[in-house]
Amino acid sequence: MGWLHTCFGITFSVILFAVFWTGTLTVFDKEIDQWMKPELRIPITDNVSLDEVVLPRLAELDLLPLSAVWIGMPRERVPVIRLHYKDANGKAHEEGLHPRTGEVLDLTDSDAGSEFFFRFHFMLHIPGILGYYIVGLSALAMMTLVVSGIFIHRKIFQEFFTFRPQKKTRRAVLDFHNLTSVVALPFHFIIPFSGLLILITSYFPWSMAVPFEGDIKQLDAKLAAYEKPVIKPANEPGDPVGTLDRYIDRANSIWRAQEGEGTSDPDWVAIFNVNDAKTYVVVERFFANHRVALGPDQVVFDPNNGEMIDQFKPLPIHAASNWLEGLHWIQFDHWPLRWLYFLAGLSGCIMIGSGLVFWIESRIKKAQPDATSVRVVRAISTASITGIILASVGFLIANRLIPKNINLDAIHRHELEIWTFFFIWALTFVHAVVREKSAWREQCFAIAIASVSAVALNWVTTGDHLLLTLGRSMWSIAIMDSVILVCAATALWSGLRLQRRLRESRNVAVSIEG
Amino acid sequence: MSKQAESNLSRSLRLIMGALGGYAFSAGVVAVIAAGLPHFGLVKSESAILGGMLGMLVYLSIIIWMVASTKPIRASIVILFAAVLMLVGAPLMATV
Amino acid sequence: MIILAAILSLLACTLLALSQRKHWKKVAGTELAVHASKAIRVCGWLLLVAAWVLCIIGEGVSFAALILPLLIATASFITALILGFQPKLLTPLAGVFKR
Repeated sequence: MGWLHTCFGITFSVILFAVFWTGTLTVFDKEIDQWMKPELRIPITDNVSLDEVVLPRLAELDLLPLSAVWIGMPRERVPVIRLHYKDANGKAHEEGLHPRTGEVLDLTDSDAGSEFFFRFHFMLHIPGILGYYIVGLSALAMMTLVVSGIFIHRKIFQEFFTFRPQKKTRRAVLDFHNLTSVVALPFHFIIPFSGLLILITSYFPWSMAVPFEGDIKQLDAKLAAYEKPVIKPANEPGDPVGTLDRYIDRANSIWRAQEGEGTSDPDWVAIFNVNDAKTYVVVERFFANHRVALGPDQVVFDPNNGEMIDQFKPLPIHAASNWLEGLHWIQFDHWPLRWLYFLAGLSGCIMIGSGLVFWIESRIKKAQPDATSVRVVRAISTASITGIILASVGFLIANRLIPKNINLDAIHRHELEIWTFFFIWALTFVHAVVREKSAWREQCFAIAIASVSAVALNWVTTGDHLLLTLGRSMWSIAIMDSVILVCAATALWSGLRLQRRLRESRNVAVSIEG
Repeated sequence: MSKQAESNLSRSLRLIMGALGGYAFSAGVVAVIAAGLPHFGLVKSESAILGGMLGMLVYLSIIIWMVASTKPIRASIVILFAAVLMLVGAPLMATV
Repeated sequence: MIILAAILSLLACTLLALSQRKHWKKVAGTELAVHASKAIRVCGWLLLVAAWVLCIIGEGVSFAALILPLLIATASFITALILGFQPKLLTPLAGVFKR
């Protein structure tokens, strides 16, 4: 078991750290969005009327006949209305509407948290589905690492609370690895498992399609029910949908009757068969706000008389799977739990990082390999831990520095931000190769400086500083700024501690030689 | 062959069998559950999801078993034999 | 409710840690008697159960199933950090069980 832990650890820890780090950031994806797209910093509005806000906008648009329009309801963490539609040429558009005025917001072109960090988390920014498989394999490896770790560690309960920072670095690192692994053990197992479930049809495509004559699309259609049009169009022009609010109210009262008060609100409303006489509305809860499990729960309304004609609810096993997937997606509104996820995610990062560092240092001590390979391996570990953190902060800084209306022919603004991320990441590797052991300390200091500048840049470019955001209860921005500042403080503290350790070890070396 | 080389070879074989044989076996389990349970009244989409959920746990167990087993060759034969049986059998179950 | 559950689980984790001889020695400076260890451990587990009940009442089973393991994880981590860096912080708590 020991060799399995080592072998998988070396092979996968770099990828796992990147996945865990971006996953931890994605816990606050919507907050990152608001930080990187300042136009989203709108106070939450209650009782939004889609009839007053969205229908006039739809009337202005030249929509593709028979296409579908999807309307994302404003939520606590996403205060704007999102509108997805296809124009007469069939081109897909995505807009953010102000929930009160209906004004189309001119959003900063950025992939931010819910696009960049989120997608990196499960596809590593690799085009196509290769990323799915790499991340899936890493998730499986993580599950084997957790299980084999239990076999190796054995003294789980005796050493449950053991951490001895005063001991030698290697011992302290191992203690830290064990501690972060053991205390959050269920989390470290269930997170890769539920992650695999989200993409399970990609991992067992053949097997899961067997009952459907080998056609996996039939399964997808069964699970998403009414996300595709189910009522045939009349193929003659008709009036647009007259009201959305009433459909939402009706769906809400149906759900309330079934589930009691405190039930979740819909997050999407879809209009199918646009511009047709048989245009109809589906109200959906996918990411419900007051429960863990994902949807879809859907209510379909009849195009002729506006009555409910069908309701979709997941069957029991599907619902169980949706609960597990929902705990991975964490799109519900629950601040204490969100913070606990963030902390557990960080503990996962520490677990992976300390495991990697422990292995490298003991290997170097034992085998004394040649200088070049030591350099490269150390540099990989430095770049994959402090490097990706620095790159993420650099991504934020780039977002604030690149002008909003920059106009380049070859490259989009959001791509420029992403390139900055990868450029800084590559740079940290080069830096680590050149500076060897000092790279840890220097990158820690760089993170501290960069984080403080990111917060300062947010202040300069948007006028929102921490006292103001706290005072006005703009929690998303306040959270972002304070987390970045805590990150700066932690990096500074680690850097100083590393510096002290280095000096101590040098003094010891000098006194031995003397 | 030195002892070190021998153990490296054994470890590589265990890993390969765990990864590939394990996948074949768990894909077989998923297919059998997905195709078999509808015969006992379960909805097809439900059986497919159940299969998928259990499949990953089966895969994990096979990897651990292949690594920990004291008789890896016998374990490999059992896994491969069962995998072939299930992968061939599942589509038949679906059509019956 | 969740704050109360958080406090209870932190208390529970520190008690469970104190019921282990090496941690007790570090904190209290004395050897831990077997019956005292048992008593502390029982108190720790009772507090955990109480936190569990509070979580379920306040948040429902579905959320409680996520909150409690993560609360315990955080609380144990904090306990380990206290024991690692400032074990004397727990001396008053140990004093309660010293008699």
